[in-house]
Amino acid sequence: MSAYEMNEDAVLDDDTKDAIDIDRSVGDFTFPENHKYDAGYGLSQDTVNYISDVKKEKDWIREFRHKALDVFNDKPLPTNWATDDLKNIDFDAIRYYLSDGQAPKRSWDDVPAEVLETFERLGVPEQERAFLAGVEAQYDSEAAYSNMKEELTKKGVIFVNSTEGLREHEEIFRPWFGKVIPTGDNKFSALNSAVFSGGSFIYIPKGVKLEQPLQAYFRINSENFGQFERTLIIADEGAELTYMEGCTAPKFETATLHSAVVELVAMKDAKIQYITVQNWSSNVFNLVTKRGVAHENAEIRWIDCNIGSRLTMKYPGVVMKGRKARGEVISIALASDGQEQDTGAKMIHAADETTSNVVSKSISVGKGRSTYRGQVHIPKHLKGCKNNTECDALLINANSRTDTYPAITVRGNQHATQHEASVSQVSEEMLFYMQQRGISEGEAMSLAVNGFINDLAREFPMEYSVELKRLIELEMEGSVG
Amino acid sequence: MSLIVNNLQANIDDSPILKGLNLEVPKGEVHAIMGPNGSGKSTLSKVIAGHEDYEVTGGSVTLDGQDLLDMEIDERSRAGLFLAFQYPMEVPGVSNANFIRAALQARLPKGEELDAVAYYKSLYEKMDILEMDRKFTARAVNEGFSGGEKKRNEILQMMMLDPTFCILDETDSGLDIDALKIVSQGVNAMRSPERGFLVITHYQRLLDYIKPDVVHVLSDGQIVRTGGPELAHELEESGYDFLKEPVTA
Amino acid sequence: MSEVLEDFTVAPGAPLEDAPEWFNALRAQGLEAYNAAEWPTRKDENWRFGKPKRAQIAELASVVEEDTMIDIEPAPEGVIRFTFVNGFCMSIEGDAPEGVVALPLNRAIHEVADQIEGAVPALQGKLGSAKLAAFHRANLEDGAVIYIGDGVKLEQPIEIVNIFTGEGRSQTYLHLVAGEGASASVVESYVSANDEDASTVLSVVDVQAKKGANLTYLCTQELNEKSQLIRLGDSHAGEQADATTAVLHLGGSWVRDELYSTVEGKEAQCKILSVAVPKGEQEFDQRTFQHHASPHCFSDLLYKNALYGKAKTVFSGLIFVDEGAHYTDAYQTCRNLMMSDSSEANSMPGLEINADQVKCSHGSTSAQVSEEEIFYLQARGIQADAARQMIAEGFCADVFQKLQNEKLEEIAIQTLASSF
Repeated sequence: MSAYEMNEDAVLDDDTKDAIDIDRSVGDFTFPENHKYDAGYGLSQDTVNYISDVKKEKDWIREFRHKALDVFNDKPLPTNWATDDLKNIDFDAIRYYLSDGQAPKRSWDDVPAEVLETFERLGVPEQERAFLAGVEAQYDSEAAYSNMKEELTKKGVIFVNSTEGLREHEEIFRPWFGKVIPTGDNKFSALNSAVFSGGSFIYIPKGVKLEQPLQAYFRINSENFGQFERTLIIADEGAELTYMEGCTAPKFETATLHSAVVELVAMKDAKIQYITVQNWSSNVFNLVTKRGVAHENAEIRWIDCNIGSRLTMKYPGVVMKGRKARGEVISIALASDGQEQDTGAKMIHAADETTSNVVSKSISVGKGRSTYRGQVHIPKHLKGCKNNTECDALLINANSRTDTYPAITVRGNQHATQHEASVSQVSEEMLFYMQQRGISEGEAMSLAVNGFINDLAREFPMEYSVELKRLIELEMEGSVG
Repeated sequence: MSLIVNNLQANIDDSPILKGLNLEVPKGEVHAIMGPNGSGKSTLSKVIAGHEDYEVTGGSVTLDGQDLLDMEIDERSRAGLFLAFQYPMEVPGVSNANFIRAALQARLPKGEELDAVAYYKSLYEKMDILEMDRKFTARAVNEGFSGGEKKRNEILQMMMLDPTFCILDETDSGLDIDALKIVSQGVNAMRSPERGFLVITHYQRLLDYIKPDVVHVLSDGQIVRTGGPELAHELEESGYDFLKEPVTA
Repeated sequence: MSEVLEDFTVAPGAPLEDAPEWFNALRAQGLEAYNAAEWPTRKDENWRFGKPKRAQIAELASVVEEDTMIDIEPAPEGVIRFTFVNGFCMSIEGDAPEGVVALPLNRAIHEVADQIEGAVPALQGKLGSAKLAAFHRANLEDGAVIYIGDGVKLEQPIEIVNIFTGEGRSQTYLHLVAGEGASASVVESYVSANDEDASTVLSVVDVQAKKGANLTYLCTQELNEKSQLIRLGDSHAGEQADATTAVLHLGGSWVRDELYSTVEGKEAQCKILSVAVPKGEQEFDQRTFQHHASPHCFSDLLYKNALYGKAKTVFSGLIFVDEGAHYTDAYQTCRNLMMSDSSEANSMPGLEINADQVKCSHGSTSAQVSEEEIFYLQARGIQADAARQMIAEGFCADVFQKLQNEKLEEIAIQTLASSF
């Protein structure tokens, strides 16, 4: 028996497991279903018509959905590069639209008791009072609650769901809808385009800078359900906002599908920061397409934390379309036993002097698998583009797995790109050192893991999410506040 | 009451390194262990601290009557044992202040919280003694520290954790003379009738600053000679050559 | 005339007259695998950014053998040198010392049959070119066979010169084995006999370093700009062996180079080096795989490209650590120096880690010569253009220091100099 094998058990003890395990029990509860509208199981033209009818949509949206359905049916699953686990999604065993037929409420007092209890348990109203400029809370297919501070309405900020956005503000949203991420971008963006419901449509007028974040919380309550929210955020010239999203679902026996499309548009000098803490239960396939367009001197930052789901595939992107535009992806992924976090970043440079930065850290625990996929593209005839990419992976156990697959294309000699990746583990010597100071092995591991992501964890607002708080608490256990 | 090492035998990868080592360090005394490279000096400190690479095949180690060999690494620490490492580890992302706080917190009963104000007051006092800049509290443990800074940081931890028995493993290596003086001051400030020290060193130099009560010579996994401070000077002058000759009483 | 010559051409997979049965069986298996395999397509991840269409070389007629007078200087005293024309051995100079076999394949299969039978590795092309590897095997006829016996230490590098002439397809093969505790170096070169003939070359290289062996292999490639090359390499380092493979690509309109390096056995190590200086419309597509099959192994890859004109490079590398291959130490670096505004570099440095206590890192950079560097040289009186060239040459030459073999380093640097 090698020295390594002898130590394996020591590294794997229950203390350690507990210390690095993320508490997902907080979202693991469910209420009886109460649906006025249910599109039924499976996906067909009828499903699409049903959704369009319920929403009383204009013809152009209905056509958009039908075209998307065709694209979805035509496109194969991307298993030539992605995991075969995708084949386990049974598209016929999913319900594509569930809602109680109520318009989103402006006050928590008007929200149905069970829904209110759900969001209270998740801490959403409390956070809204504490530090948010506006909240939208989606329950299955539609928002149950949506409200924003009055002063923002006066400034012309729009914060509504997708149905309302396309109906009431077509002139603002239609020009960008489906333009950042075309329907055919991938099979799952096509799926979303066919059956989307809910999500946030946001417009920030010229020069308006939101001091507090807007937040959306996505909650799946029903089994055998797919959530397909659609988000489009437009920050007009010089506008600034931070948007945050959180999500949970109960742990069902059967697989649940979450497939969102998120499009961001940052006009000249605008700044958008989009923060996600993804903590789906371990039966959720989380297949999300996220991309932003940054115009001249605009900035888009994706701050992304993935700790839940069975399989996540998500590669937030920024198309830097205007001179001096900036794109950034900050990503933390934690893949526990049985989880696959397949995340990354796409940085498309389409103008001179654009800069992009990607920092990704992943932790694989037990048989968890984390993967980084990246694309950096600098086409011909551009000048002064820069990309920096750093990927660090931490392996906790002997059977943990990590993969890194970046692709970098640079044309021309006036750019600089740099990609660095490393794989490491918490060394036995480091644990020995910490234990010699009287810290238990489990806590030593927890300290080391949190030390690994410490610099990125600072990018997330601390008050924000229950899930991330738990993650940060791991460090707090042994630290000064 | 003291540290008692009795007939200690330990292997690494099945080859014996400690071959029946006997040592007794009473409270209040400072003992030095000297010896040539490969004699087992560092092994001794790691075995006492509980490093898993070493297999104890015989003998016992007790601290104030407690059987250390039966304890986990962290339990030994909480029982009062402190090891100042020859090569202190870097712990990326974990700040020095948080690390020491975690170690102190681990010594409190469950549910009891360390008083942050008192903690920082005490931390800053000790850093002042060691002439450490306040910025070291926010820096990750030992990361990017110079050799001297790392050793000072070891002594800082020692002072903060207030152990009953300290082992200094080649603490002088990699230190310039000024750093050596400061580190020694820190150690000397901690000397007390209630605390024992075992100072492991290759060179006599350190012992000019930390005056030992007793000097032991370790060779091939055993203590081969014990004497007063003068033994260290003798070794400095004539080296370890005498080990090659048969020992006469 | 050509009709007569065609009679000499043996169909792929067909038995060779005089060849032993086992050898003909290999050819037949090759044909079988060829028929079973698919041509690579754009969808194949191993061909991302690549040109799979250019790999379809089987349709090309094999080059018609001519009586070419190749004028090269005789090998210096004490040097073993193979000379191949279109993949067929024309001469071997120098005498193999005791314990060393240096023979063309068509003699080796008779003279050292017991050594070579079963020693030819399984089919390669694991990095996207399985069909080509099979095609090569089906056509296997000649090549260089080198065995360095256990404990034999060779001071002087063994040389292999490959010359290509005439239009059409040809193939080369190198089977190089360093026995236990042996130490040797081999330098192989690819050159075109003239600037006109468009050759298509399919090469397979097997390099094996047995327990405790130290083997260094350098390949310099200077085909003319009309030719294309597909090179499928496989290197294997056993317990405590040290295998270094290096390649210098200067010529060819399109080059596809796949190298699968395995370290297997305690403390096996390999170094994988490459320098490419594509210009004009040259396109170099390199794929590598660092396979850590057992614990406590080391591998280090360094690829550098200096790109001129409209040149394009693809680098795809994967460090793959098997389950249980703990204490792996693996590194991979690809650096592109962009010397023109129309050049294009694609980098895909990858990691797949299935073990623990692993030290792995990869890095990839693309940049131009920095203005500060040029300024520094200009301040010493060197013209800007010359300074730029000097820096690019230094950027490339630096790689060959890692060969840790003075003779090979000298050869590589001399060859490189012709490009600047």
